[in-house]
Amino acid sequence: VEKGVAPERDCFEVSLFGPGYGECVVVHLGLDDWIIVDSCLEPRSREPVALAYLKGIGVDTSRIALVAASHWDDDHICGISEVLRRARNARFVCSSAMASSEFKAVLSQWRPKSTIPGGSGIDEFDRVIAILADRSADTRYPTPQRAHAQSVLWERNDPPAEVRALSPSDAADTAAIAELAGIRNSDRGERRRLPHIEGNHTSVVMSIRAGTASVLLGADLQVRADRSLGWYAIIDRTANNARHETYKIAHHGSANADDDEIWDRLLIKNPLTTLTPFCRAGVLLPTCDDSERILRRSTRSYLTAPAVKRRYRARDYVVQKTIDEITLQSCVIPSGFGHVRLRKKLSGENWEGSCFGNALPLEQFVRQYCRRRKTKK
Amino acid sequence: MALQWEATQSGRATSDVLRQQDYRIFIPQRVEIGFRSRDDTVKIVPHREIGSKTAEASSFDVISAGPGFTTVVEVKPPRAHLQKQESAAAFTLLCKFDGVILRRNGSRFWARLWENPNDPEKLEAEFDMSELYGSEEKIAQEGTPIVWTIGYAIERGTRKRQSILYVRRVPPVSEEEALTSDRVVNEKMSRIRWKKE
Repeated sequence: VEKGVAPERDCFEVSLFGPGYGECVVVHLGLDDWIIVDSCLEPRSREPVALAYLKGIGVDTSRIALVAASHWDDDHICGISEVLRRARNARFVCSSAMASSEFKAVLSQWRPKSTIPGGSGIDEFDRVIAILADRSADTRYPTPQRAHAQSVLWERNDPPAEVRALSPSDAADTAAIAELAGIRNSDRGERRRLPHIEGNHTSVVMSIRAGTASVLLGADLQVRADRSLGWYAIIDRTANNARHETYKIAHHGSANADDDEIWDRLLIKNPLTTLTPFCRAGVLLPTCDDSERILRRSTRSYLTAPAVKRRYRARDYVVQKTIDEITLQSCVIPSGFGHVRLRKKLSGENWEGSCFGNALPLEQFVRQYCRRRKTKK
Repeated sequence: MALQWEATQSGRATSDVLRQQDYRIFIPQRVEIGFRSRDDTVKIVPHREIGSKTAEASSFDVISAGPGFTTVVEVKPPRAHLQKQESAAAFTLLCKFDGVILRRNGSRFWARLWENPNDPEKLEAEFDMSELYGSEEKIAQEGTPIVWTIGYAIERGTRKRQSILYVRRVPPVSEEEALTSDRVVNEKMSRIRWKKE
């Protein structure tokens, strides 16, 4: 993680970290108030990137006001229990479906499966629950909050700042609970990792405003045909004047999380955008088509690492040869790690974007990787 | 590349067999590749598979035709020396991956694999279901733990590369474990005081 220099007290900062599989957003709301949304690990040190970054710029973890889990996918929660444990003054926020009896049943069923190598996939949440339960008797700790559409998660009066959840809607909560029930019913007691929850209905999209700065964090929310779900539920409930200057693009830039109405109703024209790649099981996001589509809407867009497959290098030649022969295709995860930092004075006009590590402007990604792929074809 | 294989030479494959498009024959042959000569496996494949990448496909396909010859031959590259999933008198382990199935897609699956869980980089690979040891196809699903060992099998003094990919067999969750887990989760969740709306 790039140490850099801590932002000044009157500076709004959005830092997006992404190692190719996972993401973490660290926001400075001015006056040394910080919030952390999601978590991933720094590939080398295996430390949560948010903690590594704040330590590097000399910010005490007591200044973290909010720790939010936008949804419960593996790529968004790695190390979040450690972040919460260290952030003693932070309120924990998650989707309301995660406090439901269905989720409790899933947690109960999968918890004993942590003995398998690599864990059960629910271990991180189990640790979060343990921390919250231990803190419940002590009034010094902020009470955790269930996020749903239009709930205010954090606010400050002077200078004004607000963190507001725009999702999930009531219908999305119901859909998420139905999905959890499906997972619970599919369990036959065998020890395996929790299957991927496909719908992303529980995704908590956040609108953050401080001074003249505003950012929309899109989590992994997708567009659904049913207007009571997904992005349409947000768009239909948001006032026309509530546009944002910057946008953390939803679901790694995939087409199923993009719609003209998001750009027209929730964002200013040509906003500053950031996104993280997703490289898992042969799926690479954003694709070249996704990148070109995003660039048509936002000329200033940054990607934390290129979404490319990197060849796995075994220590032993014979092992490498066998891998090449046995597998149909293979790659190494993560493919890169980077940090995109956006800064603006609370009363200012101009944004300053910086890239660290493998981060790069999306336009450069298209130029370097997509055009080369097209030429190869 | 000059390579020919005469179907009638072996006495085991005839032109009648070759006409059966769904039939595959693997016959050990001594083949000439350039200036080198080695024992290898010659595989006859149906015409329609030419050019398609299958789990068993070689890195190069050779087509030869003529009276009394096969129309299509495929030479498997050094995999002739690679044993898969066979027991051996002795085994030298070169590498052992633990892993988990990420996604199953028909007869193929993607898995994430690691030698050490704390490795900063992990291998993700796609396998054909036929690579799984024995008849484990039914129990292989998303989230199933797997193991992949690569090493040398030593039998009668001959060392051969061996790859074994298998599902890690772990006992199902016992009733006692389930009850304990249920009690712990209920106790913890009931203690959490969520902010009132």
